[in-house]
Amino acid sequence: MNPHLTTALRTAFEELAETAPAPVGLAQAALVSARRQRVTRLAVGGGFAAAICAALIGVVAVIAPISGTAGDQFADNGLRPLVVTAYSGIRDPKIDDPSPHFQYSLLLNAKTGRYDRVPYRYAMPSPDGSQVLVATGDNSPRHPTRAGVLDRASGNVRWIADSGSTGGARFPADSNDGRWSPDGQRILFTHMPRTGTPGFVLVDSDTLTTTFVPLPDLAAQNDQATGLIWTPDSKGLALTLSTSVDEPTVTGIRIYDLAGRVVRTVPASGGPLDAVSFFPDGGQLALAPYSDGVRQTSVTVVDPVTGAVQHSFKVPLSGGLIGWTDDRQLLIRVVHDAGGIPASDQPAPVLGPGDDEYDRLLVVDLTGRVTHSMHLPAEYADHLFIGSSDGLPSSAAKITF
Amino acid sequence: MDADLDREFSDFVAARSHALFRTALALTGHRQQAEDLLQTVLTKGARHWGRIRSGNPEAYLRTALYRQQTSWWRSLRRGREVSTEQLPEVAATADATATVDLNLALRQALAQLAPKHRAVLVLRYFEDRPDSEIAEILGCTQSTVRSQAARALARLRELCPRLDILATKEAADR
Repeated sequence: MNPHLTTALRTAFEELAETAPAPVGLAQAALVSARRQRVTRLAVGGGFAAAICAALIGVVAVIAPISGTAGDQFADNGLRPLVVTAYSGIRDPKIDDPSPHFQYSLLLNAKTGRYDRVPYRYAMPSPDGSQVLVATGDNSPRHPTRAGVLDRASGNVRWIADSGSTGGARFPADSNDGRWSPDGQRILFTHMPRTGTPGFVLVDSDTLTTTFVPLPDLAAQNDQATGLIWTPDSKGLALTLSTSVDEPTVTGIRIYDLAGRVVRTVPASGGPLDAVSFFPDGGQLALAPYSDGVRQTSVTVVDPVTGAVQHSFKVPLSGGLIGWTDDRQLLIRVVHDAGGIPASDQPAPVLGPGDDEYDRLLVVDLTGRVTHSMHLPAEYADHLFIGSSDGLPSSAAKITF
Repeated sequence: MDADLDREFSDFVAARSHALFRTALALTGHRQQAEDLLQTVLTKGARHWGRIRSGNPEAYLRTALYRQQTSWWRSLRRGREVSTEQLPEVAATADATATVDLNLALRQALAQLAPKHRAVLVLRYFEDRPDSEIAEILGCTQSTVRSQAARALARLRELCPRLDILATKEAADR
């Protein structure tokens, strides 16, 4: 082989190898997956039904509340106020190809109180539950990324038009998976192309018209590359500002209006951040780091206007923040056997049978005390979406919290 | 794994994930697929960490990367090649500005190679491995490595005729 061709090949591979930095959280994700696979094998070997999809609901079980009363508010039909409305992004073990294109999601069927399997790797129900933001593809030529809105009643999907390539950037290929606004009128996509101007895309949920709003500084002060989130009034967007020296550190929260103008920047501090969640009245903002599976999760609740810390506490297990259940409690997702229960000045939650085999949702108050715990399905979903349990049949009581 | 092993594994991944991810990118040519590939292999590594930690865990994982990548496609695609994107038109001459185009065309051609062909080229030209090591990693004989490499290069020339310009250039240099 001639040296020019050798050089050309080396150059091509070197360029490919430099196209993206290594993702964060690899070790933790691998440890979690390894544990999950171990549990799955044990379950199959033990003769348990390994069926998934609709049958997943069969392994969702509520264990007795650990303590407290705030999480025990039952309606007359035995339903608690909230329910997981979608498990989004589940890998099908029957398919070896790891591409997210082959993932599926589970949507709660309000009539039956059970979950329906849908062939989308991402599925986020709208606030009123009538529509679902869905996505397919993996950005490859064979499976290009597509995003659309599924109508629950008809089952039809209206696909959002691909913008094509502009300055090397594509939508929706170079955007995240999108989020409904709290009022359900728009969908937000954070747009962070490898080259070109970052920003966000707003999609009108009725017409699916798209509006790109450039935010040139989106990546500059956002070393953790977290996406934008809606403010509770649907009139603004919040960005967590962070910087990386040895490890990512949160430095503030910036609020933009929907034209991309900075409304205010609020100082905030903290370590590596994974999730940010507004309480719906806009008065509280919860910040939580990545779950490392070992250390207790530290949660900080700040005033979104001043940045003043309102609460700071540790959850007695390592978990990820999902959101608020009410103004005094948060929802934390804990991965099974994630390092056990480390030494803590907090009382350890009492575990029920099988608690070391399933992921769990914990309801915790603003001191870190666990008030309720619920098993999650054995199959891991990338995203959980939470909604009201209103209208569910009483048979669904066991999956509410 | 216990907490000490978990930490040790996490430390190892923190130190070596950059290098492993580079290889995954070279193998797949696609960020998302590279992430998935590396994640799958690291999950295997985590499962077997107690056993592999005392040896050469990076070599284990690197081998697993190549084998995982080729086996996925072998089982699923059954010889089909990756998608056939439209290739750029062939330039008539080899001038300086053509170099960028050549790189682009070459990358597109690489994306269309069968995974095992691509793996051989990555090992040989990205990692500079001798054929004996490539054979060991891919679980085949050295003669198979050589034949796969020859077929890969022939296929590359088919997909990217501009590479012949390089051969012409080298002949002129002589």
